[in-house]
Amino acid sequence: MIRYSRTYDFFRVWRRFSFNSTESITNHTFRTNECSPINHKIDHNGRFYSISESVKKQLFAGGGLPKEYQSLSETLNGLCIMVRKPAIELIHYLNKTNFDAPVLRYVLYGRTGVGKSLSLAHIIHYGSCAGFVLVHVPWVPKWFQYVKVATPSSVQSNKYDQPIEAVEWLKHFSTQNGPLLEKCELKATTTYTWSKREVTAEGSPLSELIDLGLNRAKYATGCIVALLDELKKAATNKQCRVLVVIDGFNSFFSPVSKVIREDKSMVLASEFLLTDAFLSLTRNDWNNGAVVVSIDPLAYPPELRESPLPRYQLGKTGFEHLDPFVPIEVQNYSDKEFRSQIDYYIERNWLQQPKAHTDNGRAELSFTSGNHPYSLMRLVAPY
Amino acid sequence: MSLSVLLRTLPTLNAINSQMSSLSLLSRQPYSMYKPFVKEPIYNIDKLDKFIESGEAKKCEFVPVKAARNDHNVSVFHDELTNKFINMVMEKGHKELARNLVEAGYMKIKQLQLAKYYKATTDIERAEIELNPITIFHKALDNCKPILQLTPIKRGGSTYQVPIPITENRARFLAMKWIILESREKDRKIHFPEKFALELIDAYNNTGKVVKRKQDLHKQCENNRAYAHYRWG
Amino acid sequence: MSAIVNLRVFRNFQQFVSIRPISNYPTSFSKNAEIQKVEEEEEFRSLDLSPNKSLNVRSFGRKLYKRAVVPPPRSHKMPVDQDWPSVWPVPRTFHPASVPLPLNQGWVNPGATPPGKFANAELMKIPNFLHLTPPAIERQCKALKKFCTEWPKELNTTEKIDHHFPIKIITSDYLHSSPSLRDARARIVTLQLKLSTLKLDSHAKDKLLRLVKERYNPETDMLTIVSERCPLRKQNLDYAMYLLNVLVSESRVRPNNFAKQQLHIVCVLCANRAEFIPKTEPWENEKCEADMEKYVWEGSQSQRTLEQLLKRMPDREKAQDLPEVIEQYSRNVTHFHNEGEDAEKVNAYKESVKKLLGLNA
Repeated sequence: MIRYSRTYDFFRVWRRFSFNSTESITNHTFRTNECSPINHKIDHNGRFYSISESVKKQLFAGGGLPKEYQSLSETLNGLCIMVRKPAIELIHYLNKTNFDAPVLRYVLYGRTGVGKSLSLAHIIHYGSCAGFVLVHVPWVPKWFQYVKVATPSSVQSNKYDQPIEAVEWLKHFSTQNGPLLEKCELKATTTYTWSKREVTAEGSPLSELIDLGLNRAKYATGCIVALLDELKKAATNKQCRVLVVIDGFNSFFSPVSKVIREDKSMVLASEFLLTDAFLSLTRNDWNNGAVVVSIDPLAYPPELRESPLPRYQLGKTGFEHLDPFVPIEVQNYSDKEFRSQIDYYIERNWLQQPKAHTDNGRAELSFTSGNHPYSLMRLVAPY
Repeated sequence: MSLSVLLRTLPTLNAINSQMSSLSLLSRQPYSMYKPFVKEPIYNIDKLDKFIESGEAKKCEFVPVKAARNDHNVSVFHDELTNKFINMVMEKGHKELARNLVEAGYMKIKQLQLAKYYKATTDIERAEIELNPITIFHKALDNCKPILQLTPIKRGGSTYQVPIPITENRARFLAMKWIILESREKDRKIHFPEKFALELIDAYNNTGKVVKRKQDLHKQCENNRAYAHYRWG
Repeated sequence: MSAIVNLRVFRNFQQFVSIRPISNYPTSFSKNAEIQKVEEEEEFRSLDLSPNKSLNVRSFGRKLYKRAVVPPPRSHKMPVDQDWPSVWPVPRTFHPASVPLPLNQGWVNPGATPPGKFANAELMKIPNFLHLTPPAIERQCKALKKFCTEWPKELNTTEKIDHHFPIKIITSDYLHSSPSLRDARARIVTLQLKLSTLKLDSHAKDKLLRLVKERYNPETDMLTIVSERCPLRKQNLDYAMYLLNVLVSESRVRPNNFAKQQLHIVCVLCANRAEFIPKTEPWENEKCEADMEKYVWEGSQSQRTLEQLLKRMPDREKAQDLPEVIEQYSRNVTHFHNEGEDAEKVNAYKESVKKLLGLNA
C-alpha cells in the first residue's frame, strides 16, 4: 500500500507541473477574456468568464448566486460564470431593444438546477455594466415560504408587510445601485407622509427614501412601494434605465404560503404589499427598461411541480399578467458546455480523480449526471 | 517500534500469520453460499483486461465465478477501501446516508486543501499539498494501522496482556474503527463530515488523535514485551 | 334471443353409450330382440283398450305384470334426406323419439357422460328452436316476400343510409318459454344520432352538450337517448323523438342581446326551418370567462392587453403583416390554454411573440 501511494504521489506531482505548462493552451478552450457581458456573443457560448471580487461584492452580496455555487466559487478562488445560450440570447435582445416601446418581459424557464439563477446573475452583471438601475429580487419564495414577521400594513389596511425582508431587500438594492443612483440624481415626485414626523418631501433624493426604509423597518415595505413607483416614473421620463430581474417569479401566484393568521387561515401571496409592488413593476405600462424573470418549480409547493413549462408554473392569472412575454428555455449542458465545465473543474483542481479526466471518465460523468448542471456539480463535489 | 519490526521479521511468525489468514478463509466457508472453489468476480475493467491479456483467463474458463455484489461497480470514482469504510460508517442499513456523510467529508477535505493550495504562493509549496481526497484517505488509513495488538492470556491464575502480531484485515478494521470513533466524538454543532475531514487530514500528516491512539497501543505492546512468550505453550 | 339451447352433441357418440337404459325406451344403439321383432313386423299397431283376458294366463301365484309393447323411436325410421320442417313445423316441447340427434344434457359428476335424450327433463325444460331451421325460415320468407316492397336501389351503401336516415332506433324483442309473452325490457327504445347531422352552430352545440351531459360520446360524435319511462314501446319511441325535438330547439335559444344582433343572420341561415324561433336565456348573459369551457381569445384579457400594447408601440402600426401576426399569436395563446402546453407550443408562442414585438428583425 505504501509503495503504491508513493509512486502515485510522484505521478500526481508530475501531472501538476506538466499541467501548469499546458495551462495557457487549455485556457482559450473553456475560458474567455471578454469580461464585459455586453460583448458576449454566440462565439463565447460555453466559455467561462470571471467576475472580479469587487463586482461580486457589489452585485451578489445580498443574494443572487445559488448558495452552493457561491461556496464553490469561494473554494475555487474566484467567481466564474459560464456564458450560456439563454444569457446570450437575452443580451442580444436587450442590446437591440427599442427603449421607447413598452418594456418587454422575458421569462426564463426550465427544470430545477438547470442554471436559471446563474443566467440571471449573468444578466445582472450585464445590467450593471450597461448602466441599468437594477431591481433585483434574489429569490421570491423567501418572502412567502420563510417569512420571519408579517404585520398588517401601515399603508394599506387590508394588506400585509414583511418588515425584515423589506429592509433586507432595500439594503440589497442600495448596495447594487448606490453609485448609479447618486449619478442619476433621482428625486421623489410626490410627498410621502409616513407619520406625523416622518415625511419624505417632494424633490428629496431617492436615497433619502431608502435610508428611511433602512432605519424604520415599519415603513420599509411602504418605502419599497414608493421607490418602485418612483423608478417607474423616472424610467418613463428617461432619467434612468431600469432592469427588473426577479428569480422565482411564479411564487407571486402560488396558491399556498407558510404565513398563517391567528384564525389559522393562510395569508396568500396576493395579500402582501410587496407582491402588488413587484407585479405593478412587471406590467408593461412603462418604458425605458426591461423585465427578466425566472420561473422555477421549486418556487411552488412540492405538489405543484409537475411541469417546468410557463403556463403550468404561472397559472392562468400569472400567464395573463405577463402575456405577451418571450419565454426562454434554459436547458441541460450541451456537449460543448459539458466539456468546458469539466475542463474548468479540472483546471481549478476540483475534480481530482485522474481517471475522471479521461474521455471514458467524462462519458461516465455525462451519463450519470444526464448533463444536468446541478447533478454534475453534486456528482463531482466529493471526488 | 523496534519490537514490532523484530516481530515482523521473524519467519515463524509470518508463517503463522499467513496460516491464520488461510484458516480464516476456510472457516468462512461453511457460511458461504458458494463452494470453496468458486472464484471471486473481477469487476474492475482494467483488472479484467490485464487478466485476459496475461492468459490467466484461459485457465479459468470453466471455473465458476461468484455473482458480482451490488456495491461492485466500474465507476471512475469507485474505491474499494472507501466502500469498506462507508459500510463501517453505516448504521441500521442506512447506506445512502453513510455514503453521503463520507462523500461530504471528502468534499470538505478538498475544500480545506484547496484553501491551503490557493493560499500557497510558490509552485513548490503547492505541489506538496495533496488534494485528492482518496489518496489522503488511503495514506491516513495506512498511518493509522497498528502493527501489534494486545490480547489477554491467562497464565498461572493471572491474566496478562500479551502483544501479538496483527493481521492485515484486523489492522485495517482497527484503523477505520478508530477514525470513525474519533470523528463521532465532537460537539453537537459540528457535523460528522467536518470532523471526519479534519481527522483524515491530521492522520495524513501523521498527527492527530487516531495516530496517537495507534502509538499508545504500540507503546503498551512494547511495555508488555516481557509477556510475549506467553503466546506459546 | 333470450334463451339458448345448451346441447352437447358428441361427434363420436358410440363411445358415450349409457350402460343402463333409464326408461322403457330402448337406447338407440343396443336394441333388444323384442324391438327388433316389432320392427320386422311392420304392421299397423292396434291400441289394445281391453286386453283379451283369455290371453292372460291366470297363475296361482302372483299376477304377472306384462309391459305394454313399446314401439321403437320414430327417429330410427327417418330417412337422411327427409323434409325436417314438415316433421317439426311449429314450436313444440322437445320429444326424443322425433329428433334424430344423439343429444346429451344435464349435470353429472365431472368426467361422466350427461344423460341421453330419452326421458331427459333437462331437454324438455328449455325452449328449442327446432322449428326455426334455416330451410324453414327460408321457406317462410319466400312465402312472405310477395307482401314486401322492394329495397330502394339508391340506398346501396351505409354512408347513404346514414345520410338519408341519420336517426337510428334500437329496440329489443325477447322470446320466452314462460307463460307470458311479455318482457318489460322490450319497451326500451334507444335513439342514436350523429351530432354533426344536426348542423348546430357553436353556441347551440355547446348548449346541447350541457343539456345532454354524458349522453354524448365525443369520440364517435354520437348522441344516445334512451327512453324507458313509458310502459309501451310506441310511447317510448314518441317520447324519444319529443326529447330530441326539445333538445334541438332549446339549444338554438340565444342570449337576449346576442339574439338581437344576430337575429337576421340566424334567420337567413335557418330560413327553411319554420319551427325555429330565437328565445332568450337570462343566465347566458352572465357567463364570464371563468365559466367558459374553452378559452376564446376574442374578448379575453390577452386581447385587451395586446390592444393596449399595440396602441403604445411606436412604428408598429405601419407594419403590414400585423393582422397575420396577431392571428398567429392568438392561435398560439388559445392552444396554450385549451390543449395544455408542451415544448413545441412554448416555442411556437415564443416565435409569434417575437414577431409581434419586433424582435426578429
